[in-house]
Amino acid sequence: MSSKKRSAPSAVAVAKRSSAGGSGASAKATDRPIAPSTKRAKIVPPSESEDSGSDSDAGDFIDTMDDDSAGDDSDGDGDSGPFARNIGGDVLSMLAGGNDDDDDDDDDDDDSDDEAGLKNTLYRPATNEELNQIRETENLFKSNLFRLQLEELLKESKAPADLSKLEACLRLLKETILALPARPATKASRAYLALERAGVQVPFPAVPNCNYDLAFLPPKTMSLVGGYIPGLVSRPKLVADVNITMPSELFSATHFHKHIYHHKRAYYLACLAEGIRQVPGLENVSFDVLSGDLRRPVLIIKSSTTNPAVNFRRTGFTIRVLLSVAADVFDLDALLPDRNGQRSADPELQQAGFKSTAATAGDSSTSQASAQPSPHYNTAILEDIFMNDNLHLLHTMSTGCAGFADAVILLKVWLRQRQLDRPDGLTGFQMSMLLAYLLDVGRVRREMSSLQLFQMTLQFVATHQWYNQGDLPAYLRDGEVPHAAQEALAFRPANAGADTPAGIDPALARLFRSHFELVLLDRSGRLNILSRTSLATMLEVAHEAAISLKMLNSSVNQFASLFLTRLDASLRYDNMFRLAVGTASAKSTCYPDAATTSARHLADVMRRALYDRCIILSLRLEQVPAWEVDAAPPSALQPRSLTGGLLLDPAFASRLVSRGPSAGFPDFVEQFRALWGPHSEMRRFKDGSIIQAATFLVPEDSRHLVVQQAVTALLSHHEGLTSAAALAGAGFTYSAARDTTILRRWRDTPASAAGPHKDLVNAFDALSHALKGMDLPLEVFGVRSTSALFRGTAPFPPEPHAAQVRLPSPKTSAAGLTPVQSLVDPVETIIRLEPSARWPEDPVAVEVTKTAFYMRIAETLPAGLRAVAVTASFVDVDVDGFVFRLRIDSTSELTAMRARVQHLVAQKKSRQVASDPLPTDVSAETLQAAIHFTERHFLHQPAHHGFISALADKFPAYRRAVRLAARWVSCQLASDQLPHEVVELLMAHVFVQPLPFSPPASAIVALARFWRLLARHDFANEPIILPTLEQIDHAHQYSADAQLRIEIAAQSAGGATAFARTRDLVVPVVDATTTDAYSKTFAEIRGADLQGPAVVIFSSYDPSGQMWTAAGASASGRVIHARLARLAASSLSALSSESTGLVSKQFDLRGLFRPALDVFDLVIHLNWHASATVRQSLDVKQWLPSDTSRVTYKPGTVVGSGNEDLVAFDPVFAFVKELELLYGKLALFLYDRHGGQQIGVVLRPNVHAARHASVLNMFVSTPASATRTELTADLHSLVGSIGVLGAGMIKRMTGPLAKAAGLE
Amino acid sequence: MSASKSKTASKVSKRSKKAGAAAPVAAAAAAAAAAASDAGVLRKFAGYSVLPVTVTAPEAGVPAYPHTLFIRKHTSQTHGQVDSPEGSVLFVTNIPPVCSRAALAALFTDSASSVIGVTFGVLTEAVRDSEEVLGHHSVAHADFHVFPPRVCLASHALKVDLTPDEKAPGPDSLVALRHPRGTCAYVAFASAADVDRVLAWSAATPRELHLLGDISAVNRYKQTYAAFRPAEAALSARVDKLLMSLDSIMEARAQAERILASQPDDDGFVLVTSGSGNAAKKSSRPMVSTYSHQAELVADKGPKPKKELVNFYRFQQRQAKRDQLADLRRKFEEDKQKIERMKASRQFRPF
Repeated sequence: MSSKKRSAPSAVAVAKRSSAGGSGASAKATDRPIAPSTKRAKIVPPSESEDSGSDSDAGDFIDTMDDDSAGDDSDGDGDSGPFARNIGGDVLSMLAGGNDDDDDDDDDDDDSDDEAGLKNTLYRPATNEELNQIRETENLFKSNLFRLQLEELLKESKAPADLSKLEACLRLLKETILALPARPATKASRAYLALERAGVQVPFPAVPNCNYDLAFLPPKTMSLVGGYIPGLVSRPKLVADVNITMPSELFSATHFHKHIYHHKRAYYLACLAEGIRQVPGLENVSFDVLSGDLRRPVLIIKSSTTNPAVNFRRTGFTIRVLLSVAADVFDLDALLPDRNGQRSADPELQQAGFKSTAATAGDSSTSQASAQPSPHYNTAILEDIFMNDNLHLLHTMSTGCAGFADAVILLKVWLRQRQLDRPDGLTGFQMSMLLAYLLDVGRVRREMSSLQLFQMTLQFVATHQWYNQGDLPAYLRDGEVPHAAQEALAFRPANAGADTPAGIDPALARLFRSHFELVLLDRSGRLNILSRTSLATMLEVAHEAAISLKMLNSSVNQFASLFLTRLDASLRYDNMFRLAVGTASAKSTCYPDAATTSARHLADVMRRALYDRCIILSLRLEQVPAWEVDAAPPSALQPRSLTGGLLLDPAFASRLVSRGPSAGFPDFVEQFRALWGPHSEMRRFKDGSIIQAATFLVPEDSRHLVVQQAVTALLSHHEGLTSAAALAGAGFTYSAARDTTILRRWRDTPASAAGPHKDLVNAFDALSHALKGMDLPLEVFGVRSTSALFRGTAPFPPEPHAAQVRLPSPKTSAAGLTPVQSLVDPVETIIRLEPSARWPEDPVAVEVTKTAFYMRIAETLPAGLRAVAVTASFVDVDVDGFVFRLRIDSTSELTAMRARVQHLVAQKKSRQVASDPLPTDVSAETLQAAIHFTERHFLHQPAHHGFISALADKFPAYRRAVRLAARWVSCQLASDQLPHEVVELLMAHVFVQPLPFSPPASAIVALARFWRLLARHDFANEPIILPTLEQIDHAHQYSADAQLRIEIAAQSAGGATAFARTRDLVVPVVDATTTDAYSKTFAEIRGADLQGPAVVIFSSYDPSGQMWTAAGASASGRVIHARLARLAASSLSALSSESTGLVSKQFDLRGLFRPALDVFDLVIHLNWHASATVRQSLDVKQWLPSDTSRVTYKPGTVVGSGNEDLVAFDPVFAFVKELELLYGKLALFLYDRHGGQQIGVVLRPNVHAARHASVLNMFVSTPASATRTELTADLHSLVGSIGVLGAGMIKRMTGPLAKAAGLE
Repeated sequence: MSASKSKTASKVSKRSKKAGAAAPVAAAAAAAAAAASDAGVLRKFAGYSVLPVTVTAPEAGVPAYPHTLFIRKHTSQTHGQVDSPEGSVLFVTNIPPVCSRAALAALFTDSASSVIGVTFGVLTEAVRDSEEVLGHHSVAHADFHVFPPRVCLASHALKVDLTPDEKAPGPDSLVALRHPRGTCAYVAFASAADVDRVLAWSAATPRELHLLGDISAVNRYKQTYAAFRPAEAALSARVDKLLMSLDSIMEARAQAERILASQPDDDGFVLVTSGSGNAAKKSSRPMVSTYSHQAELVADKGPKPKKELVNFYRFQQRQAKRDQLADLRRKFEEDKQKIERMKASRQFRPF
């Protein structure tokens, strides 16, 4: 009967069927892994036979709460079917029809040889059952694989089958509790004392002047409730809930006031704890809070070793004892949301942490206090009253709907992977009630599969309008908009018949709507199930649901992203912050504790203040941990850490002004001022409007920090954190500015930090103008740049030559350290000339003609422009301190070179020998290399530049994200291993294919997702496919259209609905034919044994997939890639860790950028003065001598000795290239182009192999041994000659090789 | 010339003695070398003598290190000093990457023998164990451009040297010998007996290869940088000369090709191609630049092939559907195996 028994044999049967051919058995052997676990409702424990006496007890758990579970499961649809492809209905009918005819024939052929057997298995006639499965899988589940995956997931998530020990323990608990002795009514202080002597502290603050007595009576009954019986519990939080209804005699009708009920409840719980822990097997008790509400402690019982008969440790369960109270004890009308049930002005209680609404009124009269509603306080009592009913409701639902239990588990897993299942988020219980509601009002049907139920619930959450005009800032509305009553969700009333329409009394709905942000009324119509969930949270759930629906509908199987991977906060939110809230200054309300009060208040304020800057606002409060029964309960005044996550709208997030109402509406102005506090001012704008506005002043390069300023301003106004010291005291951290240390050069001048790009563009324009007006044999048609500096993705912005900082040698240190000139990075520029037929035919002659052009350009440059150097292949021109490297693009050249190569190859084939070499003769290899360079420089780079520039303009955070990622790659000493273009394309993939997230709007989160891509993506089997710019545009256009529609609708409704934007995700789709073509190419590249480069990226301009990555096709390329993937994974885990993560106090992003040096065979540490990029170094302050002064260089002057006008002179780069050229066969040389202090050397794996004694192998070799006539690599000499090659540049060498050479 | 050489050599040997006495590494290397050869003479290895040396540098902070030179008598006459007598040239390979001629000369100069000249060469694939070498040092520049590594046909044609002029080595001139297979050297002695004497050197004597001159890496890169940027006048002269003679060069090439094309190959045939004339070549060359590079990248789609009518007969349709079902079943089995694999890697534990 148990699900285990049912599923185990069926799995065997499937296996048998697949091998046994078309025997008749297949008809019966229908796999049923989605076993409707409704069976557990009739809890007949597997221990039935050995322990029959206890049956009645186990039955009791059910009987007390479950009457109509007898309506047994209507046949579930949970049958697994093998077929899920989308087959047209005609195939099905046809097969069903053909079935009868062929049946016998096929069976006869059964026992032929194996191959035929297999064929028969595949071609056996389809049974009706099989066809049903096909239909089902097709209709109810996405695909076959998806269905199988779901089944496995459910199997793993469900409770184990053998629960006999747990049930024994529950029986023991029941016996114990029902037999507890009563405690007579005593004074509170005495009652506390008695319990304390017994080692139990009442989980409630002591009330000194308590004018009522505390008593304990044993409960009349105990029932098993919650998800346990319907099978709704899922790992890892396996909880068996036990409900105890407190005897009504303990309370009088007015005891709901002033926390009296909660006090008595806590005392009751303490008495239970005291009684239980005496019994062997039940000693392991502790207190916890229910739904994060300190007023509602619960008892947790964990397994204990003292009584082996009831030790249920292996089941993974914990038992939770909940308390409830009968519905007729209190006057329910007094607990409506507009009533003040709290009514407490008790100063002692207040001091203890339970503040009341009345306290805000200060010394006002009690009548005033009672007028102040306390909806959340009332709810805390109502939840106890209706708990049983609601849990019972879930049980009924799960018995009436076969897919319910599985759908609930799926929802719970889904919520947990997104960390939304928190007491202040949306709990699994709330989610299952939502599903129950949908079932109840007929939004979903009972026949639906678990996946459909899951999908429909997400659909509902994603599309329901959770808020209305009333929730928007008043100044955005035209006057007061009445609350929309129909938006309150409610179950059908308990006594309603089937034909009663859904919906509730509008007056009641309005009442609830006005006191809660979200309303879902239970059957009683009294309890709001969503009271603890803030609107901001629900909008986040809706956002996640919308993304998940996208994934469900995607043609790719996204199961893993939906259910299996944890979507960490550091990957989801653009900005994150953390601070401690709930200090004494917090306002008093009816929330359970000060921290919750602050969190809810901040959620409300921030949502309104940042309304269009931010799409999603998530505030996560640190949870109250469970505590021992003999420990004091946690204080309600304890500050707790609050972690905030913001999903920014890139279009609005960086605006410098938040515009408010105009001066003509004093009420709205007042509201706006209340929101922003002193940050709000009346301002006159260029368009003539005089409005209230909050403005933020940030430099141009820090626009991404505007939201941080806004949040800080809100915290200073609403949390009283007015100074930096106060913010630091509250442990305030914000993620957005964490990357500034990475992207800043040492002593960046304000000019180079503020608007370098603008200056560069100006210089470029001047150059372009000059070139076009120049008197050349051919006119200049076009000038374009392909440099990463120009598209703004280079890790460091361009710096005018004149502003560059020179580093003369330190005054005190020894002479001889003459620092090299800091790097002048030339901007690659392509000149297009007027077409002409007079270009020579010979490729070399073309090149020489181009050289002549370069010289001519250098000669005729107008004043202000200076040719720094002319070489055979380019001319460097200095404009306002920026150096442009000009090259001429002549199309005929490539054709000429290719023709020449063909000619040479043909010549070689026919073994013709050329006569005397001519001056223009070059070898085919040289030509090949020249072709490669020309293609890259004049074809590929312009195409790439165009693509990336257009992309970067669509995503404001893209440029900074690439800069960070490229910096990280180079910091990991992989400067040349992963080319900049590849970083850009991978980052482009992060932006245009964001699922399971939304597109990143900040650089840090994009970096985290870049790491995720490197670490998780299966590069060996899945290529990266980028959509075309048109497809991206189309997606953007679509979302812009959608937004426009929303805004128009909102305007006609009299306001703007800022949050509706979240529903439209920009996810461009690559069309199927292109994808297929790419896949085919990819399969060719990879071949049978996974050849080709480690990364293959297809884009609209590169259908080959390996334009930029071909260099990584070697084994070492793949090793480097694997190393980067590992580093990315560890960076990712460091980023997401709670204690050291992005928003923790001690987090330092630089730590993730520093290279790990212990993997290298040799580490070459460089002298600072030999590095042209020392200022870009991550740890420049440690590297440079402390007394280094700086001098600003002026063009044409020489500062100190040895500083020439060198362009692109980088000794470290030259050194590495020299080493690669000489020793590339022995080792890999890894370095950081941007001020790296080390060069890492990894020996190639075959380096120790003995080599044939030939003159060609003698370089860096030595005889293998005294006797053998083979050569082996001479590593001592290698290290030594590296030392000589880097004379003056190397500070020291470390690592195993250096140690072996005696250098360390 | 030889007089000046010997003068520098004696200076070097004096300095090296001092350094050698001070350097423990050198002593250690010598001890190792002594242990390696018991006979007291240099070890013979694959036709070479193995000469262990200690490389020392004039600059402070650059540690000395042991190194192995392979030496033998140079047999062919193709390279080496023109005026040296038969058998008087020593072939040395595995030269350390930063090494000047003077340093090598100093190593092989002792009281008995004197070096009259040193030439560097580069080993190539084409010449296995023979001591043939292709060209002189000029090969290096085709492989190595430091700033930045670009391939430029023009520099090739214009003979832009990327290394300092090797033809007039001053006493401190120093060359970075940048070739992935290393460099060899031809050391010419005054007489053949000198070579024999060197080959009979005692293995027990510590030898020191003292690098001479300024070996600072930054200076070397600066030299290379400068070499890549020749004086404007020189560059201009070369360009002009080449462009002037362009027509005659082209004519010469066409002529050569015509001759080649008319010669029968090994099998006695003359290959007749349509491209033998200039007209064909010209037509293949675009006369007008359009700059439509993108077009090259986009594959020509062409007209779509007509759709074929498949499964016309009913039995074909039925068979197709049956195949489809079989396909589905196969897929199911595959899926199940996939799931098993995922299960094995514990992928279904979302917690």
